[in-house]
Amino acid sequence: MINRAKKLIAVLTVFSQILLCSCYDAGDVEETSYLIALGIDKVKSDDTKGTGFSYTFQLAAPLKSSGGGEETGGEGGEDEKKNTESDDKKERIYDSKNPTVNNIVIAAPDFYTAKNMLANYMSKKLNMSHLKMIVCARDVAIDSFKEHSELFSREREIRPGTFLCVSEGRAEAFLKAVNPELEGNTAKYYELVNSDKTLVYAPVKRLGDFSNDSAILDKSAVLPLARLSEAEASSELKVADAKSGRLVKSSISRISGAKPELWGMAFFSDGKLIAETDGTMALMYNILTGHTKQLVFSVTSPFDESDSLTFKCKIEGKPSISVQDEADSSPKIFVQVNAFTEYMGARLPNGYKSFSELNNTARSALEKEIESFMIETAQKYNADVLKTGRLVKKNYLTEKSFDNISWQKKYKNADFSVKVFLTDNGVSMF
Amino acid sequence: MNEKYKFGGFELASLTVNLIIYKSFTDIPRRFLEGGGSAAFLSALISGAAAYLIIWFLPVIYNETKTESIFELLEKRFSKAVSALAGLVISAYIILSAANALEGIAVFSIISAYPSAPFVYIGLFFAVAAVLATLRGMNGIIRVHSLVVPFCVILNLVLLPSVFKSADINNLFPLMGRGTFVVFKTAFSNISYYLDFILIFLINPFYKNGKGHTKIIRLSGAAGILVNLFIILCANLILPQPVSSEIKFPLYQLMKTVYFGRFFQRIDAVYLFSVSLSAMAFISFSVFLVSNIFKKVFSLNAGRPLAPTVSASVLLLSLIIYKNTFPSIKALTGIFEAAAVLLIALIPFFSLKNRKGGVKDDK
Repeated sequence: MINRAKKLIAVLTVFSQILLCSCYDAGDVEETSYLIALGIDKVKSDDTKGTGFSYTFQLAAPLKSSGGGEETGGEGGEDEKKNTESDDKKERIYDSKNPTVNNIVIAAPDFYTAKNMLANYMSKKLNMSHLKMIVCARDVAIDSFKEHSELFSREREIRPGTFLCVSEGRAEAFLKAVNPELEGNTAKYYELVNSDKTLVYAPVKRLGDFSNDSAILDKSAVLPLARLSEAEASSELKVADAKSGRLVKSSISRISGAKPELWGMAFFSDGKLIAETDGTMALMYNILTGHTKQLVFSVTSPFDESDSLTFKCKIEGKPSISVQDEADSSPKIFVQVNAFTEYMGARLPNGYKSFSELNNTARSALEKEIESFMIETAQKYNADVLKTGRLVKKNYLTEKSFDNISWQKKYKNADFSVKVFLTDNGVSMF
Repeated sequence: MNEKYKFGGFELASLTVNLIIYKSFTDIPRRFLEGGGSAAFLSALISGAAAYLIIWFLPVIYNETKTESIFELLEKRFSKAVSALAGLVISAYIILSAANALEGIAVFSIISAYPSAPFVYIGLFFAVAAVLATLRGMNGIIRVHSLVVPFCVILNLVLLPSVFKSADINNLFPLMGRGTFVVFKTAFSNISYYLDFILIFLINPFYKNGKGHTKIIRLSGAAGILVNLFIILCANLILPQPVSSEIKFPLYQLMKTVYFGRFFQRIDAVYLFSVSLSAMAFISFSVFLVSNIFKKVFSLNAGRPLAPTVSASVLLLSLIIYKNTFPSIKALTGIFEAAAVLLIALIPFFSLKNRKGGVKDDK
């Protein structure tokens, strides 16, 4: 009898453990809404008598996402899209009517008030564990994006791998314009478009990177710029930008139609936006941080400005950056990039006598561009975005002695020596 | 609870390793990173070296004791009252240590997985498990350790290298972080990161298997210290200062960045599972030890009601720590820990004195 009671107690105790906490926070998929992107804009809020924010919650509509063969975006065909586009042109914000997502805009003094407001409206419980991208409008970034990024990096559901970007216009407009082509799943689109391997003219930055960069050394950080390309491809070309012997700038390129794109780079200091640069600067950043391993670039011919020379380039390893820092003089920063190049033309272009001469043009163009990037970040923005200060720390025994040298001030006057070693593979075989 | 313990080498090693690695989810890694700054790893290394010295010497002393329990020694050398007093001090330390572990794992569970679950629910889960394990006896606890610990160690060793791609060797500089004095101060004030292995001597595994177990304790102690060091090294290399010292659970933060491809994106959930098992094993062992000490020093015949009582005390104390009702309780843990370490290290010396003829042994 006693043994039977013992067994019963044991079974009840084990069963109670299952009930005690494991199902406490259970949530069914059909009762949950998944946030996949978040936009932050600034609004003047009368209620708060100050500046409030407008949050765009982009929620996945999984039942409308296409799977497998159909990749045109589920419901809502091309005709419907065109109709809504023409209707919406009357409004300021273009809505692509992406059927795989729902966009809900809420104005509130802070993020959590907006989240609570969402619960008032929506029957499903919001889950942020699948958040892929946070888009911050320029005006929010100028004021301070740090307070938001710090908040998000401490939020349990938001992962450090969430992508961040700064929108040139309104974040709401950017998110509403997202209607991925050749991809039915918008969440997957955000993952793919932020791929380190394919994104060349903008850096790929995650929440964790931004939080870390904004907290260490000179507290400088970069984020990709997001914009809506509304220009007609052919009419906006600015050929005059091309300089002989220099890289052909990506800024003369445009995507036709209202397409959301990542292009360019925003500089932050202590969480505040201080400058925006073009895609070529972002390309140099990507090369120097080792993210871009392969690229094709064009150089304006020194002999004929209307002619451009195209090279395929493979960066060998991560570029080497070293710092020579002496007590009473400005630091010297040495950058070395090793790469293989192939000329993409069929034969030697006019004006060149050998491939090594042609190779020199490519080398010189890359060197000038990298040097210009380094000088501009140091002297114009005083932002050590490559965190070269880390390399100096090993010369000091304690953090206090390193802090005493004021690296940020020293970095502003740094001298740069850039060497690009290109191994010439001659003419491309393909 | 009266059975003879069956210690295989692997079981003993598992028990020793868990007594060291369970602290990886507590507040101590953050304290190393906060105190040592860029030299957190150096502090942890000094601390680990000091702990290893203790691990190396204690078995030498305990090998010489010809008794299973240090409380018997005290009783023979002094009186039952002294033995009871030592038992109370050591029990207080074990209960406080278990309460801290319970508070740590419950807070960690709330933060990482169950945000709306009340603390007491999660605490009760571990407390009930500890009661069940204690009633099942030491051999059951040892078996659980031998299953749980290899899983936890392997998981740590597989997951941590996968975040190494973000490591930057420059995060270890300046070498002396916030100053030489601070580095050493951090090292010695956080030596408790490794010190709970001393609890193994309360069940004196050397009583019948002296030399074989000495080697196992030293090797498994070194392995546990290396795992803990590896955790601090990863946090130090990957999270730059001052970010690393601002995060409550640096290791969990690292686990959130583990990426094994599209289908393995939530590895941190496995990590929660592993630390929960590790904590559960430690709390069960602690409750068993305290019940056992009380039985021995107060000669209690009815041992069974002790397990729920001790477990309830641990739960209550963890709730007090969680609510911060008595802020000085953490300092109190430190004081009792120092006292317990001294007692466990010094009591065997009385046995050595006995052998030299200071006090006659009854046998």
